Amino acid sequence: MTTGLAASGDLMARLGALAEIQLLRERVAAWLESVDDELRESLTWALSGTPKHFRPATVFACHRAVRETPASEAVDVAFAVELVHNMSLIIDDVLDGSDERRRIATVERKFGRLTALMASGYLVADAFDAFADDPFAVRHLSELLRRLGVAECLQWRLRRRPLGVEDWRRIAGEDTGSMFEICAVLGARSERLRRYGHLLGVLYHGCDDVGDQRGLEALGGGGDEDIRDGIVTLPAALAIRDADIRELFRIDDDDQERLAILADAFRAQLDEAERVLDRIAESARAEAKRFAGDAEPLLALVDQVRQLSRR
Amino acid sequence: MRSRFVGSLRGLSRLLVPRMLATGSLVTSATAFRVGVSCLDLWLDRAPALVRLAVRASVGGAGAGTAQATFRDDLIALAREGAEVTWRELRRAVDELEEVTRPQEGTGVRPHRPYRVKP
Repeated sequence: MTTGLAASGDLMARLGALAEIQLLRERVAAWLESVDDELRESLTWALSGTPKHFRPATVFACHRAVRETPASEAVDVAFAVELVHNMSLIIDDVLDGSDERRRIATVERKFGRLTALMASGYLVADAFDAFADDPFAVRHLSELLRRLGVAECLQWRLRRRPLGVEDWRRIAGEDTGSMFEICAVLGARSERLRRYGHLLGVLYHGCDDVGDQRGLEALGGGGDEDIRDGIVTLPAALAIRDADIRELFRIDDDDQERLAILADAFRAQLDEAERVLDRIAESARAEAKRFAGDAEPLLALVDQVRQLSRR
Repeated sequence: MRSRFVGSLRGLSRLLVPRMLATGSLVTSATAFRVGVSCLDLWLDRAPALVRLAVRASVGGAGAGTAQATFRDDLIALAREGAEVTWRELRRAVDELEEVTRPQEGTGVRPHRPYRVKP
């Protein structure tokens, strides 16, 4: 098993963040040595697999874009963000009843629900502990946790509702968007790149939706579960503009024929979904050029995220 | 020594406040103009497609349902993008105001420490 944070080296090399990611890996490894024996195995499991490191990459890229100090100074921030992200994955897997995450069993499947929930709490506690003397970071990490909680409830409440692309955008903005927003704010140590982070998160969420629909394993989600649960993904939001598909989408059952029709209808919207994603990517690039001193790492990050729906 | 210091501050504030107000007014006017132009540009770009969708959604027929849903999406998108343009220009204005009013004085050639911290 690869211990935590086995990086997607290509992305980090393109962003010039290989050294920072190495520091992050060392930070996580040292942290895993220090955690309580009772939860060490489950926490090590939670951080294993092949993470893509887009969130730490966002922290480092935003730091590099607006600050003159070395990006290695942002390692603590990236570490805390990584812990919170992994907490959210454990909770997502519990809620979705998922069997696998990053091609291995989820923490719940491997260690049981109690351990999964307690491990997620442990991750949050240590994320805050990393910022014990940094009120700016504590405030923004608190904002992130509040928004993630609200987004999960919002997404669940709005499932099987005949919503549109703009509603999807709102949900994506509070879910993945809030995570990348906070990465940008903490990396830059200012509000300057908040909007960029938001757009990057919405783009990531959309690429995840489209990638799932294409049957890709790129981002670790599950398109079938989303269709079954009536989650408003980007292809779904486009497809349910059609009244017949909208009616099918609103039904709550496991009828395989209905689910197959919906899957076909969603796949038929992939080209249109790609165009929506292109526009979001363009907005993120414009935001980076407008508000970053050195926009290059931010533009490279947008390009990398944009490719995720096509791999 | 003290009176000279106080006097120089008085001189600075006499110039600073009117200059700040004038600069602020200029930046505000430029921002209002830019917001207006950007929103108008956005509306001109989107209005034809919106009108076509509105007609299709209103006349009924096979694609009316889809047109209605698309019209709602596009109308909300237009409102959101208008708000984003406005917000972006306001942030740009704050950046500009900060930049043009930033004190130009460099640091002293040789920082003076009035007393020794350690013997």
